[in-house]
Amino acid sequence: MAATGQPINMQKEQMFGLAEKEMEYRVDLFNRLTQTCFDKCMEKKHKEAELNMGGWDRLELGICRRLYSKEVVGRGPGPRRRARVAMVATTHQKGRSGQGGLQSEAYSPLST
Amino acid sequence: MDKSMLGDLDGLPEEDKLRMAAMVDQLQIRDSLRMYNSLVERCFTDCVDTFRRKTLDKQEESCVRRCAEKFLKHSMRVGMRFAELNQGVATPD
Repeated sequence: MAATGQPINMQKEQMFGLAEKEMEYRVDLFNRLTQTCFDKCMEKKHKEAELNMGGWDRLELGICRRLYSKEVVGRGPGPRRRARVAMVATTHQKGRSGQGGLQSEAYSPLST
Repeated sequence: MDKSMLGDLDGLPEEDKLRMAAMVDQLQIRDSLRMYNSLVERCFTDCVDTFRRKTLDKQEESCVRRCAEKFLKHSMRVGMRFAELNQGVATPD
């Protein structure tokens, strides 16, 4: 029992380590997302405390684009996907039209 | 970031759940401190240009206040969207 117990414990430790790393990664992603979107969407003069309407919409779009590009990078491009990314990117450039931007494919680097 | 990040951990034994919860708490504390620091730096960089006196001017003070409010609201908004997208909810247009 003791001999078989050892590897199971180590595997558990590894799983905990992985879970911790994934959580850290998500926190980091969120922080970078927040920073990037704020820098790109908000004016610096801070005329008022509210998020302006212009900043709001751009923020929503920025989040979608950022998360989608992250997903694409994670998967690595294939020829069909490259075409898809280009299509979605041009759709967004034309304005807020069509879908919300992020396909609801399972977004999870370590999908369990 | 909160415990919803843990997803489906109900199948785990109690001690593992506690350990994961402790991990989340630690990350949360660390992230709060980091956000505070970066917020202070950001608002200072945006609002304070000169060092004429030690204390803040009226404009500088209100600018800093607005900066902090705006950033925190922004951060909450991003957090909401982030959580929604993580769960695969379709985003409204």
